[in-house]
Amino acid sequence: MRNCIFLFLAIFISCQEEITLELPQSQEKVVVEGAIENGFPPYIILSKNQGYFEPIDSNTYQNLFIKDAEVKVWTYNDDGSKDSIILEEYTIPAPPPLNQFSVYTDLSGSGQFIGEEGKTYFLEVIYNDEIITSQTIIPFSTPLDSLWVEKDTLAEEEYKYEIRGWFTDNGSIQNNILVRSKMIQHYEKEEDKCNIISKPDFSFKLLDAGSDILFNGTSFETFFPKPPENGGFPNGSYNITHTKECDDGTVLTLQNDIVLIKFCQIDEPSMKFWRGLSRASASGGNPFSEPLNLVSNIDGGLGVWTGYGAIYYKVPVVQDTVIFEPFTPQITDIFK
Amino acid sequence: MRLLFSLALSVFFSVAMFGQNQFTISGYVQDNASGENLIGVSIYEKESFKGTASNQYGFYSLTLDEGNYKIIYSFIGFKNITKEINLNKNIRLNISLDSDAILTEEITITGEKLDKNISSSDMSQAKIEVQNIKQLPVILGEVDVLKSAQLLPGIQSGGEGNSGLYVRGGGPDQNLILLDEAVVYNAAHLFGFFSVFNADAIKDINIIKGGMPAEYGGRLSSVLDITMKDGNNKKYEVDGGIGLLSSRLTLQGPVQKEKSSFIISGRRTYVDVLSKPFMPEDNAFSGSGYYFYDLTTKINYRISDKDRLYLSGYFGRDVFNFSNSENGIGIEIPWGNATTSLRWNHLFNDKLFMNTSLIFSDYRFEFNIAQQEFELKIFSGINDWNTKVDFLYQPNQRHTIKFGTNYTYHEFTPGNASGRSGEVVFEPDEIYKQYSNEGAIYFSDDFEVSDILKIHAGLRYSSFQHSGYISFRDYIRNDFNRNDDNYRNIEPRLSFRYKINPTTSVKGAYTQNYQYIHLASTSSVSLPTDLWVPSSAVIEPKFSEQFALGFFKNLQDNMYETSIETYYKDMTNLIEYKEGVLPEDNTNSSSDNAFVFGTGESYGAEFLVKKNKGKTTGWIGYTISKTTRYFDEVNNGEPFPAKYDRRHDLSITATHKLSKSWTLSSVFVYATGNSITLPTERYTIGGNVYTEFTSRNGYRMKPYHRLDIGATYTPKKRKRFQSSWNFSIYNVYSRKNPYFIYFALESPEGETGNIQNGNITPKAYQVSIFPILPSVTWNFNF
Repeated sequence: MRNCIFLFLAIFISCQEEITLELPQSQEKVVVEGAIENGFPPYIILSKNQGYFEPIDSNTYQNLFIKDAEVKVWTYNDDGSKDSIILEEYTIPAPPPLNQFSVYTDLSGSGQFIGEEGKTYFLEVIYNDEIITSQTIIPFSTPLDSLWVEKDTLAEEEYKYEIRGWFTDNGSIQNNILVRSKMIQHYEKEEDKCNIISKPDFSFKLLDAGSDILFNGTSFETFFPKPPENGGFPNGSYNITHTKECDDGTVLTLQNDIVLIKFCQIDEPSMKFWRGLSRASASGGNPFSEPLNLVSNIDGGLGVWTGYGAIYYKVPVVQDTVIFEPFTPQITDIFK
Repeated sequence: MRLLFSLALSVFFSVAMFGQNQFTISGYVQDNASGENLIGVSIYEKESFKGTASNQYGFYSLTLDEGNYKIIYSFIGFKNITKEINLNKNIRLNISLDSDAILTEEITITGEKLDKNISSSDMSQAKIEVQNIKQLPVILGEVDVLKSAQLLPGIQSGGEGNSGLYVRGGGPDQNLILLDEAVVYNAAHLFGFFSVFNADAIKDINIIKGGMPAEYGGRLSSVLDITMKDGNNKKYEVDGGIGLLSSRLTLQGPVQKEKSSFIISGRRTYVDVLSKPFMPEDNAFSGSGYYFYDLTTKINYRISDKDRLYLSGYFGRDVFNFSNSENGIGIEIPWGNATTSLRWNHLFNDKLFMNTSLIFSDYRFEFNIAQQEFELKIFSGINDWNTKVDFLYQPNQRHTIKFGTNYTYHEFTPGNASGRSGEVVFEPDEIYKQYSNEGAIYFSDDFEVSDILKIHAGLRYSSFQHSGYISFRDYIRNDFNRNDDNYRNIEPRLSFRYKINPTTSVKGAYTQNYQYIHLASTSSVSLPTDLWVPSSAVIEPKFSEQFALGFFKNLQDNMYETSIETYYKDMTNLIEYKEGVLPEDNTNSSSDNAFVFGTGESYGAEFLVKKNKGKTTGWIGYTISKTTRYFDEVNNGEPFPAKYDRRHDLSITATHKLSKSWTLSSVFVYATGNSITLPTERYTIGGNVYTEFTSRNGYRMKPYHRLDIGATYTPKKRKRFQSSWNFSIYNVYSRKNPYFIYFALESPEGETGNIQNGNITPKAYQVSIFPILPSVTWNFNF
């Protein structure tokens, strides 16, 4: 709807000019981006917020990550006993300009503390004498019936293909679904050069989040469009193996994309956060909307602590591919 | 209580006293040329100035002691008629007034009796004459009754080009907008830029912004009572206009001469049609477009001198289509209102007039999106079936008594969704609807206690019963004894006029109002997506209490009218969406839980100086006011300014009759900038940047001001053909008024910034729309 208004306004807009605003001083808050999912230890990225007009470059971005917090996660077993873990901070390499970032997790491989479906997990972060808490549930995961690769009939390029799937929703429960995707293999021709560059996604991108209110208990076909690079409404498609010709006539062969689909059940507070985030990404800067803060489930901070009942699928974008079986990723595949 | 008892006694005795040796003159007043009933004609006795005014149907009743009188019928724009009457029995006298050629050369601002603002007990009311607003400069040549109303003190606009009304600190849902008594739920075309009312089909507009009489209810802030034309019952007439944005055509004439007439009036925009040839069919956006249209129609029949029937209807739609063949997305968004009113006027006797109405009102909105074989449809709306009976009893010249009853059956469709994926159709088990019953009875007396003191006392007893998902039929059949969400309330309405001298009076008013249905909006402007929701166990009715005190003074034989009105209004149970709630969360069965509740207050002073007579007429209106909201769950529980809080609001309008052919006009407005919420903090999640808003409406945009000028050229009438040209220049000095502020994350080089690239420089931009905009409209009549 609001996009419609923009179209109309575009006819009448007389001018726009940059203005300087004096905004009140911002208050420093801890931003939590944490999760626990079935079969994996918890992982939490902590950062700080900034004043709206504070510029950001690679140094300031790096300094936003919190490295000296105390992070604890625990749960209760059926017999009332408590399992807990104090997470360690790991530095993970990242592409420039970030180069690296910090994550609190357990990479020891001990299997000491692993997420289980149906359990509630509590989080406590102590930073600068402030205590930040939250809790989440890992709902029971629900698999897709199948996934397959199909030609994108609307795309002009012959090599554009879509990932489609069939899903049967469990009608006995009102659940919340979140879908992410990440290209773990993607090649592009370098602009103005006759080279192939590897450009996989660094992290999972959010496709959508919402409740099953509309399709509760039904069985239907769905599709997983490729999210845009910098956020926004996902409507792209993927590449099969194809060729590109350079100015000098050289023909380059670019291998097909390989995509990881993360299909999750989440609890309602988490869904509200991710749904709001998905909307904020798609309609950023809308002048007509009431200001919409993301609804955090973090007490004393911003962000979200999500339990994922997750199932992964690895989809090579190759014609006639059909996938029935889930894929088991590594811990380092999932928290970025 | 003792005061009420004394008042009741005095009413009884005064009715009884004046009941002896008195006779009544009554009848209808109409325009001699067209047969249209005239509303608000002053009918008074020449010596004592005792009198009355014709009601919404042109009916009047004046009761006097037996004797000889000169009765004057006076209406601005028409020649006065004086009738010498020997009143020794009840007399039925229908009067036809002739248009006054001399007076119409001077533009008048109001059709009321010139000292009505001094002598009546009404306060905070205004009439808008359609003929006069057609002379004012307008944007893109579209005459708009709501935008003209915004020029009155105490009534504010929602922003640049917005036709929404914000009255004394109330939101747009707090206005009762009636078209021939039918409620119009969304009075805006084109996302609020134009109102749904076609000025060619409108006879009278009455605005009540405080001191609401007891016959009106169901809203907290104001009433905009619009009466359609009845149609010329003497000859056929065609009116039309061709403008830049839309064209209009109106046909009217007798069905049976002087007994029955009709009017049908239509309007359509044609940007979509005009742009079609310039949009190649292979363009990805071919098929996208926008248009609105509306159709207004009315037919009336005079069964006898005592009975008249009116059937009127309105149908309007906005349709937005967007299609992008590149990604296969198609969007269609139709929305609009439909109303039908069937009314029966009956005269029991010379003193007792009755109007019975059956009214249907409908507003619906649809959003349809399709991408390849996936389709989604969201639809919402509200339907009303309304019946009301109103009585007007004028036992003598000191009392005007009104009483009646009103019942409305509401059917809410609070947001339903359905969809399709290939062959699989997603349909909710049933279309979720909610049903409510709203009723009221009222009584009021406009009582002239003495020549100095006049009191208007009214009482409205209202009730609201929300039966949730149980329809009326099921309710009667199965669930009659359910314990539903019931609300019953008494709403006292009291105002007085104390006349200091014939040109000066002081008036005061106290009113209580309840509002049982609510508009939920996530937007700063009125959008068709906004939902009407009923009061329920969770959502309590809104309540307001308003005090107003005014000083009124006319100068130079009523040439100048001045007034100062002050008011204080407090409001409770105002609703807002909960933080983070998205409109689509409000779908199907979950609508009650999306809201938070709070209170508000508004106070201010309104100043008006109006020149009624002469070649130059117009007014200066100025309002100083403050409107605040308090919500425990919004803004950390701290008070915050309402989004339409406007400290200063100034309007100056002037119309000058230059010659028989030329009329010049101008409008200047100044208003404090809108209060808006801006982000104060920023953080990153998953490599994307998100903002945090901490202070609701904590920032003010720059002040809004603008000058418009216009000229109307009316060439000499040729035989029956009359035409006129209206030239307007909107925003003469092309002021860059802020429309909205948006934020962009840029890189230092000015391109789109990207957190992944580590270079973001946030910037704020102010966007202005509507620079200097000339327009021309050609109007014709034959």
